[in-house]
Amino acid sequence: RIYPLMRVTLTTSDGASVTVSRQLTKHSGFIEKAITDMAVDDNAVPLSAVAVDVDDATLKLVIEWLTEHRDDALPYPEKTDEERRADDIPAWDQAFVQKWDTKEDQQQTLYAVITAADKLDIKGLLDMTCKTLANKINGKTVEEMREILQLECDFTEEELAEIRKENAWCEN
Amino acid sequence: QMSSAKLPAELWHHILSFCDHPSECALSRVSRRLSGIVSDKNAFALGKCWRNGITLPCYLLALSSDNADLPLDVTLLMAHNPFGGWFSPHPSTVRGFEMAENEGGKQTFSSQWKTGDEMERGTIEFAVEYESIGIPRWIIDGIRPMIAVSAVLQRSDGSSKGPRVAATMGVWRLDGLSQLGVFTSQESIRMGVCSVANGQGESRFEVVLDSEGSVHGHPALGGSDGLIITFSTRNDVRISDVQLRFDLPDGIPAQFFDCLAESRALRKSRVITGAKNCFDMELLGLYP
Repeated sequence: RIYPLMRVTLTTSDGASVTVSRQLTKHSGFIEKAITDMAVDDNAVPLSAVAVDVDDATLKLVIEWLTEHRDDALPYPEKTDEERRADDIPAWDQAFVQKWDTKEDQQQTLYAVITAADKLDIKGLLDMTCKTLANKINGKTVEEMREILQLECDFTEEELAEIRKENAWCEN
Repeated sequence: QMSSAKLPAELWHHILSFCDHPSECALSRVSRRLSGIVSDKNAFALGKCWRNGITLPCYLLALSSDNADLPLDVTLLMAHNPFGGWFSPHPSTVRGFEMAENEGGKQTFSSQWKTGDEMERGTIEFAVEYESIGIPRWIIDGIRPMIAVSAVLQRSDGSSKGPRVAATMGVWRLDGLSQLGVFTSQESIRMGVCSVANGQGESRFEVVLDSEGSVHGHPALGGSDGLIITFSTRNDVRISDVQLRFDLPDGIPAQFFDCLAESRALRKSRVITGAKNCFDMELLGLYP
């Protein structure tokens, strides 16, 4: 059983400390495992802070998302590839991500949160952020994708010609 | 600083699971690393298939594993196992027939009488989109499996007079997503026509589409997006055991890449020109 008032201190990769409710951390497989490993029994408060490999700024965004989703059902429902869809992002989450879009480093923030969600094992946040990136990519041309992902073309002309030939049939 | 280049391959696989197929193909042309990740995803998928008992020909596995743009959808393959033998499709349209399903899931369709002993023309249609059952377009376009349909036709009163049912199997082609986000089809090519009129109480309808078949110059399978099976009758009949199977050839067809290119041209031309129907059941004198 998790007591709502029970709090956990997290230390970030850049040395900051953040204290959060267990109500939030229960959605993170990584933090819950760390607490379980440290605690002397199920109800004990962990003796030391949990170190997370996420910087302070990103962790604050993760906590903001967790606060909104604190009442989401657990375990997170697993979906098959067939059931996966990218167009079912809840309105609050869309607004949450949209907020980053006003920043100059919007893509970097998205990648940072995707990576943090993966490291902290927060499945709902991982799915939502991956869907967001997939939505940015879907339906775009190769050149547009390079621009969105900020990647340089590192193929040789011969390789490109070969790939173009192989892929030509599915371009439609 | 984070960038897309620093995302690990496992996360890219997760992102790719939300991408549509053309975008996945396009991603494989963005950079060498993404090309490798898309390709690895295929190899990973094939391993999963093998572990789950879905056996596919070696050449198909090799083609998919070696080419990022020739993916297989493991989840759909495992759900439908389309190359594993006969399977029963679900009807998309049932008109003028009563449908019953027994405990084993076997479906039977019986034509309905209207008042005054006048039978309304009944139609049952099975529309199967290849990709939805785990058969990607590149297999249809390049490998061109043989497709067979089979059904048991029965006259309800046991009599043997007159024609009983017209049955066709053909393919349909999609033009893509409309503005409303639904698939639209401007071209429907049907072939494999069968009209059953026998003196027996029961007969089996069997039609095969192969890679050689063509209608009005179009290859029967290349460039098609789905299959359509139609039963139509004004008689008192029962139709059951409608089954479908896809048989892959023993090896990669010699013209594999040419066939892909040909189908691609077909898909492209119909988007530009807007192809028209080139089949009319009435013209073929199918309806008794």
